[in-house]
Amino acid sequence: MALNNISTIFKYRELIANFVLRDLKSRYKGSILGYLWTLLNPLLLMLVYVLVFSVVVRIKVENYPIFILTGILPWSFFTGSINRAMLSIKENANLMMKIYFPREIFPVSSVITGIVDFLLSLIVLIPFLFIYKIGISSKILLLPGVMLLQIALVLGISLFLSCLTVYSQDIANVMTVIFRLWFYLTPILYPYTMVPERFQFYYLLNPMAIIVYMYRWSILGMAMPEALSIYISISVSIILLIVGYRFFSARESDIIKRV
Amino acid sequence: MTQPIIEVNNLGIKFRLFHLKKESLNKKVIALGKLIIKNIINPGSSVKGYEDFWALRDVSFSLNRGDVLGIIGENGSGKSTLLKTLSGIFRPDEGKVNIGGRVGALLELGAGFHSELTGRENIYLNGSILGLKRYQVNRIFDDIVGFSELEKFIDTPLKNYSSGMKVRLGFSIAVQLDPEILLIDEVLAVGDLAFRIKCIEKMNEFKQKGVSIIIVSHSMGTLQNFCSRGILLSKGKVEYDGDMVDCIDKYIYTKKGVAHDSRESRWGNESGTIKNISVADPNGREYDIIKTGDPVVVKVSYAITKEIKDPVLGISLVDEKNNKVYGINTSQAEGEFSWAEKGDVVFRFPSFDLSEGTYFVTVALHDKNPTIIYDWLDKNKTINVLNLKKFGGKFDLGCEIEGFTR
Repeated sequence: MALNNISTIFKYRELIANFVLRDLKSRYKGSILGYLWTLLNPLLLMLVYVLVFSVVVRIKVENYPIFILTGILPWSFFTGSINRAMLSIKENANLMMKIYFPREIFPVSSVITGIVDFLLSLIVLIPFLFIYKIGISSKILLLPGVMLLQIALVLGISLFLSCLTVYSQDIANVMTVIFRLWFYLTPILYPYTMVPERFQFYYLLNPMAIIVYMYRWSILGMAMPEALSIYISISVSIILLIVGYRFFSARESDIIKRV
Repeated sequence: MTQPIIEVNNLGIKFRLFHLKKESLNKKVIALGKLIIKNIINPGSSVKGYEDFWALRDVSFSLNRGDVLGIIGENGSGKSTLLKTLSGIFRPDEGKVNIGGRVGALLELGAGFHSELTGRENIYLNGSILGLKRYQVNRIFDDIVGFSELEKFIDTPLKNYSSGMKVRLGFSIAVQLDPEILLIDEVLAVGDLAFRIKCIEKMNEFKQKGVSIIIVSHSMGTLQNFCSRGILLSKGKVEYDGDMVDCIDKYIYTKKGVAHDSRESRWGNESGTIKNISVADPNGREYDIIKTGDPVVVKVSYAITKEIKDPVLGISLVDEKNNKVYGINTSQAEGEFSWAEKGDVVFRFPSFDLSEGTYFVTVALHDKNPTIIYDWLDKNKTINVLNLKKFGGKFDLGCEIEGFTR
C-alpha cells in the first residue's frame, strides 16, 4: 500500500518539479537580491543572535556564529517547510476540484521546495568553516543521512498538519506559538549541556534537538549526546512519518469535500 | 458490444453539512482532540457534529465504447458530482465505479493555468498536471498550438490573454490528449462561434473514432444533436435512462414549472399540441451551427383533435434583442394545407440569409382567430448562425456591385 503510493508520487515527479519551480520562481519574483536572500536571511538572523547572546547575555560557546548558523539553517528548513505545507492544500483547493492527482503532491512539493532552499542556504557555512579553520572530517559523509532523518520528521508533521488545517483554521495560529516555544526548547542558541542535568533526558526527547546536534557533529565535529537519546529521536521521527502519512491517506478522499 | 468501458454500481457520494452553531471553545478543543486520537488509533473514523447529505445515491449505469451520453437535471441534482467522481476527484462513499480507459476531463478549461507564465510554459505545466511527461508534451506541442491558433501569442504571459484565448488553449490541450473517455461539463458553450464549430467538429471526430463521451449540459440543443442516450438525474438519483429525446421530454414536460433557458414558456388550451421541432439540413441532419446561406429545413410535428376546425401553425424568428426577424404560418401560404390528426409541417428555407448571431424559434399552433391558442412554444429552439460571407447588417440581400474586372 505504502509502496504503491510512493510509486504514484514518483510517477508524478514532473508535476512535483513543476510545482517546486513555480514556488521558487514566484518567491524570488520582484526582489532585486533574489536568491541572495536565502543566504542573507540566516546570516542577518545569526548576527542578531550573536549580538544578543554573546554580547548581552554572554553565553560562552566556541565559534559561536557558526554554532548558531548550524542550528538556524535546519530550523528554518523545519518551520519553513511545515508552514508552507500547512497552507498547500487550501491554496490549491481550486485545482484539486478540477483534476485528479494524488493529494500528497502538495505537501510533498512544499517540503521539496524547503529542501532546495535548505541545500542552497548551506553554502553560507563555507566561508565560516574557513574563518574558524574547521577541518571537514569524514563525518560529513553522513550529512545526507542526517538530512534524510530530518526530511522524514518534516514530511510526517507536514502531512499531518496540512490535512488538519483543512478542518480548522486555528491550526496555523496555534503552530506559530508552538514553533516559538519549540525554537527555545531546541539547542539552537545554546548548547544542550546548559540544560540542568536532571531535565536533560526529557529535553533530548525533542527530535529536533538531536537532529541539530547531528548536523553539528557531522559538519563541525562536535560531540553527540548519548546513544539512547539518538535512538529515541530516530524512532520518534519515523513514527511521526508513519502516523502523518496514515492520517493523511485516511482523510485524503474527505479533504476534497471540505476545502 | 463487449466489456463496458464505464461501469457504475450503486454509487453514493456523501457530503457533510456542518452545523455552524456556536459552541464553547472548550467543546471544540475536546472534539478536535478526540478526532486526532481516534484517527491515529483508527483512521477514517470521525466525531459527530454534522448531517450527512447524499449528493448521489444508488446511481447505476454502464457505458459502452463509443457511446455518447448526455446528463441532464436541475441545479444540485448531482450532475457535476457524478462527472467529478468519474474523473477520480471524488471517491465513492458507497458502491463501485469501474473505468476501463484513459479519461480526459473538460471539467473546467485551463485548470491550473498560471497567469505569470507564458502560453508555452503553461502547456507544459498543464501537461504535467494531466500526467504527461515532457517528451510526451513535446510530441503534441505543435498540434496544440495549431489547434488553438495562438501561434503569435505562445510566448506571451497568460495574464495578457483574453478569456476566450485561455479557453482556446485549454480546449486545445484537452483534445490533443487522445482520451478514450471524454467528460465534458458545460464547456462547449464558450469561445467564439468559429472556434465552437471547430470544437464541435473535433467532438464529431472523437465520436467516429469510438471515444466514449459524457456531456453534462443545460443546452438541450447540443445534447439532442450529440447524444444518443440520456440520463436524467434528480436529487442524486437516476430518474430516467434511455433515449436522449425522451429524456429531454421527460425533464421538461413532466416537471411543469421548471423554468429552462430555451423552453421557458409554453401555453395554450392543449386541444392541439406541438410534439417536436427540428432544425436540420435538407438531408435531415440536425444543425449545430448554420452558416449564412445554408439551406435549412424546420420540421414541426403536431397532433390535433377533431374538434379543431381551422388550425394555423406558424413559426417566427426572434433575435437576441427580442426583435422579430421573420415569421410565417400555414394560413399565409397559397392554397389549403391538408391537416391530419398527427403530422408534420415542413418549413423549407432554400437559403438562410440571416447574418451572424443567435436566434430563437417560436412555434405556435392556434385557431384562425389568433386569440384561441392551442399550443404556443415561446423561443423554444435556439439557432446559431455563423457568417462567413462578406457583407454588413442583418440580412444578405444578395447585392452585386458593378464595375469590377473579374
